[in-house]
Amino acid sequence: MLAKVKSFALIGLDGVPVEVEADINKGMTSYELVGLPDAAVKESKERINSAIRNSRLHFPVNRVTINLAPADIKKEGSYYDLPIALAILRAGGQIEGEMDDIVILGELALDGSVRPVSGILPALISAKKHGFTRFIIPSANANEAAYIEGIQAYALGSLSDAVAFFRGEREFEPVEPKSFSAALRDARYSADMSFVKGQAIAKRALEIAVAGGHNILLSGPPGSGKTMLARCIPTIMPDLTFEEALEITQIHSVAGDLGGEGIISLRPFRTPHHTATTVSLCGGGNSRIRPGEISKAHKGVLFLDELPEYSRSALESLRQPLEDKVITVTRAGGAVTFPADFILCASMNPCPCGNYGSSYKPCTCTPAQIRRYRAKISGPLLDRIDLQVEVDSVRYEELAAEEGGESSAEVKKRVERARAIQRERFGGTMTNANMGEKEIKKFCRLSHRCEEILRDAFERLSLSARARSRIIKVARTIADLDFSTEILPEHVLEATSYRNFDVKE
Amino acid sequence: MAIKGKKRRLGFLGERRAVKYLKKSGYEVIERNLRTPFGEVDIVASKGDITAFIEVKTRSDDLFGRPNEAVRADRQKRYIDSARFYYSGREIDCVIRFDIIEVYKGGINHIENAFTA
Repeated sequence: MLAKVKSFALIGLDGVPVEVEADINKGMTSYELVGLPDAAVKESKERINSAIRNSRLHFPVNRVTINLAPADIKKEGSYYDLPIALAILRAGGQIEGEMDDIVILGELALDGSVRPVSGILPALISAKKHGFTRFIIPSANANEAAYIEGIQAYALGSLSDAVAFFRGEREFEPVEPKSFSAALRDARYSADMSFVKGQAIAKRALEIAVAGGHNILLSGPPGSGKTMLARCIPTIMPDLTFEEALEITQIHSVAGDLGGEGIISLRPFRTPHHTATTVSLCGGGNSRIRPGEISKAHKGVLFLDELPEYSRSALESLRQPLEDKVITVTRAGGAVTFPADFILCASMNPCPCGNYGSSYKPCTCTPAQIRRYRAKISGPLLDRIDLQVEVDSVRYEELAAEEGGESSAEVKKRVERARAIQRERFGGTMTNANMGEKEIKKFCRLSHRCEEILRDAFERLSLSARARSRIIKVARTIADLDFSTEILPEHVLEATSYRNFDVKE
Repeated sequence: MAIKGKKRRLGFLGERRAVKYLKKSGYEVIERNLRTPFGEVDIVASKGDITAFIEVKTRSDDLFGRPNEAVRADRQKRYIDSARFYYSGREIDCVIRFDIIEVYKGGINHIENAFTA
């Protein structure tokens, strides 16, 4: 007997329909699995055998041939345990009925229970695009199906449940849909702007960075609150839209770090350690290509603490995704593109001892040491960081002050208004930071007075040439925050003040 | 058949008990000590659409492990190759199964589908 069951394969975030064919025939008893399976899929034989027996079903003593079609796509992971088991049972006549329009995904445990798998959400989304509306998924992945409209997903806990489902022995209810707005309402960040005492300049810089989508570098002595400030960035970013949340959740679903959560409703804040390798940042893997930290930070913040400590190659690898907002990872198994649209927030000490430029403690470093330390960060990377802010230690009076200043919610309102202006200007999701020379020319006309200030700043502060367009973009964002259609001299002046690094070079 | 030595005598007795057991369980014994270029198959028996190639293991005690543990990969291959040889040039119209029958002092243990091709 021949049976066919539908399942799905994932290549990056894209799904491809897979047909699981089981043929039970006369001949020498054997179990053959073909269709380019990887090790995890090949091992499925033992799991399926035990799961079937332990579910009080019969594993056929025959010549069993399993084919995973199309045969030219590598089948990876453990999605296929459940569909293969059901195909075998169907071919052996132990279950009946149509299975053609239902997509089955799930790993089996030896006792016959269904284990969760990674990548359920992207699989469901692409299967829906292929016209499938009915699914069987592991019960532990039920939440991932709750936010996709127009599908019926049955979250089953065991192989015997699945058999009962096809035999029609029991009624099963599809996963109840959940609303994203409720998830959004319940989501809370642990940080808040009002927790940060003092640091008015840095806070203002964060606001500008988020409003215009600029990358930001915080430089200051140890313990001045750089990390705490960075943690506030997601809290002042606009609320996630449902589409953005789905995108983020898909990435984390593929990475397998969703942990039962249905949808991610908070903007990610990723803090890879400075020993992170290029692959861990950008993504990789031998045959199954997984997203890296920059993709996990998609629509959120990538925080690199102690920037000069990161390996040179890891930092250089960030340059291209910072421009393109996507990363294409190419391996022997093929090329996969993951989105990587994040705000880069880096922090560093101004010098090896950390006190250079501090008004409270003396610096003990030699100029040569400081130069060497700073040279670890390449110009091209620095070039992509629009805002460079110095964060100094906070005085005791400020720390003891009861009042913490504005809350994140208040700042967020201003950010959202500035973003709305940009949406209108560019007619899309583009932000000021993404402007090219063409857009700068079009949207950032500078008055005569502004040009004068810029020229003056150039000469006096010996700014680099590339700093100019950065300053103009930041000035545009400051003007947006100010509701000003024109870029005014004060906007240019403020923008110039966020180029600390260029000045000291 | 000439039986030499204690070990071969033990094996012979075990096979006789196995054949008796198979007949009682409704099998038809087709071949005994089937010789092929790959080696010897103790018993070939059939029941319904199943044809079983059976290795008989006889042990007087458990000192060297249970009898079924003695059928390792090389022996399995011998049985599989022998089955292929047995059916060469013929259409296979049945399910070919590889069984092990353990014969020990206390009784008989029939392991169906002990290994697969």
